[in-house]
Amino acid sequence: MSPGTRGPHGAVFWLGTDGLGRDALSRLIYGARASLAVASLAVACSGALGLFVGLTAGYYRGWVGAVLMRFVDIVLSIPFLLIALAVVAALGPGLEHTVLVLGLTRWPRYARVAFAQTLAGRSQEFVEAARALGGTDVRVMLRHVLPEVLPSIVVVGTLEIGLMIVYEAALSFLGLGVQPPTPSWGNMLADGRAYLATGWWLATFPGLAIMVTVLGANLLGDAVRDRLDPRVR
Amino acid sequence: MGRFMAGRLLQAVLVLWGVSTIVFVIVRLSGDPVALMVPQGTPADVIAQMRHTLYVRFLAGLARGDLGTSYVQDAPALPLVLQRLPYTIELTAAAFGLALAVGLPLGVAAGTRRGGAFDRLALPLILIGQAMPSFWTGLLLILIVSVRWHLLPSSGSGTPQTLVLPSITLAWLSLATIARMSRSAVLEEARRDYVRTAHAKGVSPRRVVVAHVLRNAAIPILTIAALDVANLLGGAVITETIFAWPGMGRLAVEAIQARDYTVVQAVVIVGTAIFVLTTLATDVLYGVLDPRIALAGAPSYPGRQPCLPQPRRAARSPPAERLRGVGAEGCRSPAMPGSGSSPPSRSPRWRLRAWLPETRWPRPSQIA
Repeated sequence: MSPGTRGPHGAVFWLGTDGLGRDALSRLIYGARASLAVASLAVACSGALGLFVGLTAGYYRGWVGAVLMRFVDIVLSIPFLLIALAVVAALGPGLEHTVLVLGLTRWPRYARVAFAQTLAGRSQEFVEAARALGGTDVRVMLRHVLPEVLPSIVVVGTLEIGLMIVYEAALSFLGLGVQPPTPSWGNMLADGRAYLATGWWLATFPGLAIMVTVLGANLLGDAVRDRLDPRVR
Repeated sequence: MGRFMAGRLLQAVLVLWGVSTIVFVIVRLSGDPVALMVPQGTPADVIAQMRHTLYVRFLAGLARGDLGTSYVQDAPALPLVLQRLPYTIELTAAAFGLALAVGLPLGVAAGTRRGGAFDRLALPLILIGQAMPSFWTGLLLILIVSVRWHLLPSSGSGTPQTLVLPSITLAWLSLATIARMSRSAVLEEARRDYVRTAHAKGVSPRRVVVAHVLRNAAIPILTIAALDVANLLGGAVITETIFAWPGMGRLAVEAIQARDYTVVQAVVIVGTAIFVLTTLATDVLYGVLDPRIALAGAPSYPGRQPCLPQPRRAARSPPAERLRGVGAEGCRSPAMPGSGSSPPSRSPRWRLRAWLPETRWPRPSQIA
């Protein structure tokens, strides 16, 4: 049924129904779960991993830093969607695997930023002072260097959310992410593909939802950067 | 330059090896072939030995260009992939050309007349362009152009008409990225002294942009464009699926559905090889575009300073270093005009990475 049709019980299907007669609006709303959950979990995982690597590399510098950052270079030059395909193909599709893939492939960005910020942060006088007072490496890192690094990481993280949403939808679209009975914007789009000729709304609205969410996430990222980034202030 | 290239080459080989190993492990996560081969109760060290042998064989095959046999199609995997490769290259090249042909002028035009009507029009376009997922763009194009207007075919390959929709779909995101990047690169360069000098000595505005600004803005634009090739390769998987384009990406999706892991493995390795080669080619191009890079050689590893603009204070580098071009201030971030106070320098690898966090999304305040 097309959007706005009144159903048999008098209820209006605002976005129409899909090929199996399910209300598209309800599915769209429920589908937000998958996108947002995957995006935020993936950002949290990759952010934590990247922060750890970058902080360690930047704090110890020397060969530890060189080795770690070389590794980051290498991971960064892996075409990630292809790896994601391989992982999901091997482990089987599913929400957890999507998070796993995104988390394990997207961290180098954070590591780079954390590395740069740690290098800058650790050469400051109050860090020197904390070390001179006998603070252990871990303490200095967590209490003094981390606060310097965190804002940039948060900025990168918010900027990444939009990308994560797109990637989750892409994987679901290819049938490798969230599996069919559970709606997600990606697999709703994939369903809509089959009805392009007869039901334009099925492929239009999930995509619109993705676009608006990503746009919102990107604008949020920009705003967070403007607020948190000491360089801009 | 020679040492720099040797280092890059070594890194390229390392990446390929690393990716092959990762793929080797991943593909075998779904089922351990060794567990099927040995009788129950085999000691662990024998199993480890067998796994080791399998891996060594895999690497040896890789060196010979043998990526195993497809179980489903009963044919060597590599030729299967290479057979589809020309289609993917055709599509990617068309999309890349389109993105560059439209995105670059768009960005430069917006950047040279900052705040003008065109610039204000370009900002929302770029923002929306970056937020639209390619698979949706593709579906919308099919819906409107093919289903409603019956103008172009929605699938297939071979005729020029079939290439139009897929390449527009694939180019979409790159176009927005390139436009954004060239806009901020031009903005960044336009504030420099040499531009004022050029204007002062009466060079026509057009020539200032083409001969002076663009030459210096070329490096950041090139960097982003090269990185985008990876996105294009990834995006090709989706675009090819939507438009039934017989390329490598569709082969990968088909292979995954058929559980034909050897082919998946081959696609990933070939895809990585292409990407690594593109990155290498970019490094060579840096030297051509900017002789200073060729002279200075590789930026010294961790660099004296990271290439993010420094928080709170900017270090001053000795003039000698600044001349060499890889000094402590060897970073500026075109993504953040207004904050970058450092002079231009050429340490592309570092600058490239430092932009990454800022690559995708323009800050409204900086664009408006």
